Amino acid sequence: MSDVNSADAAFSAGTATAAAEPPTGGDGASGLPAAGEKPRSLRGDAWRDLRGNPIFLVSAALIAIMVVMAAFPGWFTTRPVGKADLSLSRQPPSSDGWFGYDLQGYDIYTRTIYGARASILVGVLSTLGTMAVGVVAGVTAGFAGGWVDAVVSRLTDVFFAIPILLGAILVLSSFPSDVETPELVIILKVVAALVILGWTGVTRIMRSSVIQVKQADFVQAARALGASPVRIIVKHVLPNSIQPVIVVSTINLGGFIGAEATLSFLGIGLQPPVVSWGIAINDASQYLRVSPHMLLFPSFFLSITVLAFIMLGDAVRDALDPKLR
Amino acid sequence: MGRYVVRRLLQMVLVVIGTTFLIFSMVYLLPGDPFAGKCGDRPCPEAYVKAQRAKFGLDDSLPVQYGRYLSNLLQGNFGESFSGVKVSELLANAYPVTMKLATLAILIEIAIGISAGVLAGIRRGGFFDNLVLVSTLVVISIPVFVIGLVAQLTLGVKFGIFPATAGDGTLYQLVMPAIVLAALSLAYVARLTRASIAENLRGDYVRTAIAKGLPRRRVIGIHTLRNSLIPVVTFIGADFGTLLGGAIVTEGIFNIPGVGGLTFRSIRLREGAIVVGVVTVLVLVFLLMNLLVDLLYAVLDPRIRYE
Repeated sequence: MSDVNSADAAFSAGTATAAAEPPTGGDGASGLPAAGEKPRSLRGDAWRDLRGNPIFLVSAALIAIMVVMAAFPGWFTTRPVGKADLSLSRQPPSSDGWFGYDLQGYDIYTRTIYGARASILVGVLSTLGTMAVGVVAGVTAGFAGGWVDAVVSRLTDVFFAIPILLGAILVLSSFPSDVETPELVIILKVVAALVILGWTGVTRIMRSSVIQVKQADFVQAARALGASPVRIIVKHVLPNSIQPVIVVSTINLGGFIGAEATLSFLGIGLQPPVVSWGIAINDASQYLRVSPHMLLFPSFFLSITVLAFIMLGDAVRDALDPKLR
Repeated sequence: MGRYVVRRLLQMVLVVIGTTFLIFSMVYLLPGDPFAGKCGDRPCPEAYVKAQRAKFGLDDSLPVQYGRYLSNLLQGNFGESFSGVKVSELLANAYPVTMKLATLAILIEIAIGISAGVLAGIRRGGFFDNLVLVSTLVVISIPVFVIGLVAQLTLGVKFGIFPATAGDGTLYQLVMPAIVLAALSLAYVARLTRASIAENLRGDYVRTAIAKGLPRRRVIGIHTLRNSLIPVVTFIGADFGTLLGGAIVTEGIFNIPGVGGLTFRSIRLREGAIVVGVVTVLVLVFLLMNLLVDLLYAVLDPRIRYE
């Protein structure tokens, strides 16, 4: 192939340094160890870097708080999430209701705490979903090459060409939810929509990463020793090519939480009875001029969560990418 | 070069067919009856529904319907909506507005994003660098619709700097929506440019240029910037399609009569022909932009050749 392989090369360049990372890690010792000191792997090195990075510590702490909030909302508030008092409708923040009350008279503080669960669930599940599909498709295409690669790459092109928001609206319209639908099913529908449209990015990164690693000496050596393709992939290719995917997925997680909020804002993502930040923002948008507090608190929590995941991804990338040292 | 373009165009045909089929089958799956509520308070007479379904061929199987759509499309016929309006007409009304909005957004991205990225990249760790890093993080983490709503309320309603809505889609009205639409990508462009400039500044060719005694302005503006632009151009090229799609939110907030609103309404009304038409044009624009970007590489970096 004489051309600079079109969109794929373009994409790996586009996702900043993450995808262009040279294959290092597990098999090759990084740097010369000092006498008497145990040689550290790249991962050990990265972990040491991370522990001393204040950005990593702050974002990890924020994420930990959000996850605890999602798992045990009862620890943060004693009020029931379903309790509404219409006489309190759109009351501003006070010592009684710290974040004020929304249109239905729900306590916004309680709703915001409980809203973490849906957002985090959508973010985590969508990320795991895109990683699973993307890694399998990317490894298959990159390792097999030939017509398999061509088919997977064209399929990736097809899905990549559809804007994620537009595609997600279509998928969610095909499987509409109503008040009767169980909460988890509504959440899983949004996850499915985001995974169907979002797997292409991970696939492309994984594919180009695998192609790089495939040519490494240790893979050739394993092949010469007669290792089966499955063993080569699991033992040698995967551990050495998955780092860019981990970085991008961490950053994507924040993006998925934002996408869920956008879909809910359009009235097509999560829907009541699910409590989520996106729904709260949607409700608040019509009363922005008179009761801005209804918008402020849910969007603040949403932004902080997205921010935490993006910062975490940045920190992990800086630690893993030797070029930036 | 010529052979490369032809090969890319052939690949593109495959992708367009795949994408339209995908969208077509999703629309085919959409639940509900497209003729519900079309006849006022009463349900539509059975004879009418039957005649309409026959006219649009809705009872045929998916491959048959898709084949018919594709052969019409090849003759330049986008079909018509259930209310009898030509889809090409709807597209011709909506696309120019959205194109204007997206182009404006791209220009804002290029102007502000690249200059902020360059300024931050040449002094890594300086005050301006940190300012750019922090402010882009803030912009990335706030959802677009919150930025849009707040901008509309403050800049539009309270201070009256920009028109609060853009119902006519004139250039002046579109400025604020374009800024909102561009905000997220602007932040990415700035960060990408920064990282790329900072990396390339360590290049041997930059040291050579400085050693030759070239003025700093030339070293950074010509030598470094040109080499750093490839990832940025890639991002902007791919972003044009995203902007067209992401316009759904911005157009909704600012009441802009563009593609986003048209698509959203059409999905809700099960107007399959409109949805598929919009997406087909969108995908075509997206693919052509990507081809253009790939050809731009050779201009930016002469080492890249297409043979």
